[in-house]
Amino acid sequence: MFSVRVADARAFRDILSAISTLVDEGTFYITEEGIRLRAMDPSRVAMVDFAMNKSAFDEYVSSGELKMCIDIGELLKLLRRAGRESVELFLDEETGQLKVTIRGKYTRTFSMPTLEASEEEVPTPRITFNVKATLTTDGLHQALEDVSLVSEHVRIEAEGDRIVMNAKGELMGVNIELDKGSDALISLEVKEPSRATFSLSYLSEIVKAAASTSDVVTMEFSTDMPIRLDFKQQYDGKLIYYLAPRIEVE
Amino acid sequence: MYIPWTLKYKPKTLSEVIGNRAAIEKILGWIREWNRGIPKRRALFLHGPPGVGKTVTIEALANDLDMELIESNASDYRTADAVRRIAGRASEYSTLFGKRRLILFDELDGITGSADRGGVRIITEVARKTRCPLVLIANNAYDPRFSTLRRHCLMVEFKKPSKTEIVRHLKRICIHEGIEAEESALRFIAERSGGDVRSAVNDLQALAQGKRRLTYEDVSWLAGRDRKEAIFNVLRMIFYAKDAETSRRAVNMADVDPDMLFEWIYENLPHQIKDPKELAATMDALSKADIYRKRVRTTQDWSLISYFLDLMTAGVTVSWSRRARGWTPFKFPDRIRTLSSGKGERAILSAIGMKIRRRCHISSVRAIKEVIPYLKVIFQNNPEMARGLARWLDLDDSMVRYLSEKD
Repeated sequence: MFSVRVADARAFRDILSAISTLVDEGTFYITEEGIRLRAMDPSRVAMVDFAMNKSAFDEYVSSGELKMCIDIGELLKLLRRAGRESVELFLDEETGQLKVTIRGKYTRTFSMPTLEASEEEVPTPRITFNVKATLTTDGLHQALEDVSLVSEHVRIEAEGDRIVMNAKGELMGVNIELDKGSDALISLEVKEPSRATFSLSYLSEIVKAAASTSDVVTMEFSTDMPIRLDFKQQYDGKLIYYLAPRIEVE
Repeated sequence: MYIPWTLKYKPKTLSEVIGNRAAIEKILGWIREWNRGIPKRRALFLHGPPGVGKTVTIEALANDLDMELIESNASDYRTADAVRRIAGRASEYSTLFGKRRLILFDELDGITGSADRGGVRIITEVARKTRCPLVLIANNAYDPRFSTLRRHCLMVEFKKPSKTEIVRHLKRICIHEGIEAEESALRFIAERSGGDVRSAVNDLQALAQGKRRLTYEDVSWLAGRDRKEAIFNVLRMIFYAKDAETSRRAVNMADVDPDMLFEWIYENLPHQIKDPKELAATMDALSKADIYRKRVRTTQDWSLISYFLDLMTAGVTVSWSRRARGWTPFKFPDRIRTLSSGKGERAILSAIGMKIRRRCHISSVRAIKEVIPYLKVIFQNNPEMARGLARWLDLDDSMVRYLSEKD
């Protein structure tokens, strides 16, 4: 038995949209406490770790534990029709159909099939981070937009009270400095100067999508290790991304 | 639950791979080069006949060295974008869990069509630029399509393992399954496989599963199986399979194409299945298969092909009780025979149809269906009127002869 209601479809839609930057089909674990999803993109370079607890929903009913795999893109299509109206999800376990009811000026109920759940349990990467920075999501988003004008990769470095992003394209280059205490960089702890290069197509897609769900992001990384982006959510839950660095060749 | 033995006894580490020691050493040497930086040849092209262990070797290698394996196969090559999105990205970035990554492009032979030529190009690009080890697998690496790709790869050939090696493998399986097998029976299976370990293991499972003993007599009836006999076995498998899965697998064992296999099934159903209700049910499955076959042909949406194959095999199997009543031999499809013997007739019919089309402003197909039957009556009964018609339609002598002949 699984049935939930959110009074305003928008927030829920933004979260799903952020997850869909990495995965097309998502297997959600549903328990009495809430729903969660942890999945890697097909190339296994990036991972999303998402949870939304019971209290984040306006109504939440679930008995026991179950897995539900859905085509997130399809569900998003339905939710886009919902505007800021109320949405109810109901899983019919017998037929395997997910019923999506949108209540606004009129009531419509869509049904969509659930898919075969993935058996893979994705663990959390265990990494010792030497840099921990808190940024405004918008600040990070703007900086990445700047970099994407010149290159497909960005090198992120932290030393002292400063984070430096730089990139070199075929013709142009860019250097961005974020100082501690500035509008973009709220706080910064550097245990050891660190640097790593990441794919901009992933980073900016993730940050762009997550920006609509969150104002503040905690970014952690170490030299040539995966980066962790924890987007602070207004609801009771989490939205965290991991992204593997580019393999450096000398 | 049904588990194919090819899966159950798949080598999990390199030491379990049958034969090809020299090739495996070459692969290991290439992987070791990666420890010291990026080698001159970033990609390795593993090629050889089917069923000799190319894919399992790479999977065992990843397992032995605790590497993260990213696998792509033919269905992923359809667009350059998909290749770039999955393997292209994986080749450039490191892993999330600190393991090293190994990328595998399997079934490269499966690339076909014009959109896929882009596929080979993008694969070549990934092979040139990859920052982690990349393995390509194909049966025929010397296909002209791969000429550029080959230049960037370290070529490694997998050969057919010897008969003795295959026998040893079959013996191990028999011990595990608690089957007492005569050496001569296993030698016979190994011999017939022609070096294809996968097919040898499949044959062994088909012949020995559930038995305590496997004797030479159990297997020798397969002797000298030619193409025709092979299709008989496939048909027997489809008609009398224990479950849908076995039946479905028969398609891969058939050495005729699926269209031809359809004709074989269609021809033999009424002879094998005597109960009218069961016959109707199986024919129903077959007709649904035919619908999908047509849709594949008209829409070119090949993802539908599996429905065609499933309905034609498993669909038939599960639609009846599968109790044989006496032994009925399988027959060659009559439809194929009549189609080829009717070739001449069809040619002359359509020629007459074209003549009628010109005069009567109807399609030649409609002319054949609606006009020719009447012409035949006229030509066979009223020579005078026939002469006039022949002149008006401009029919030649052979056409007149055809129309005048009594059926």
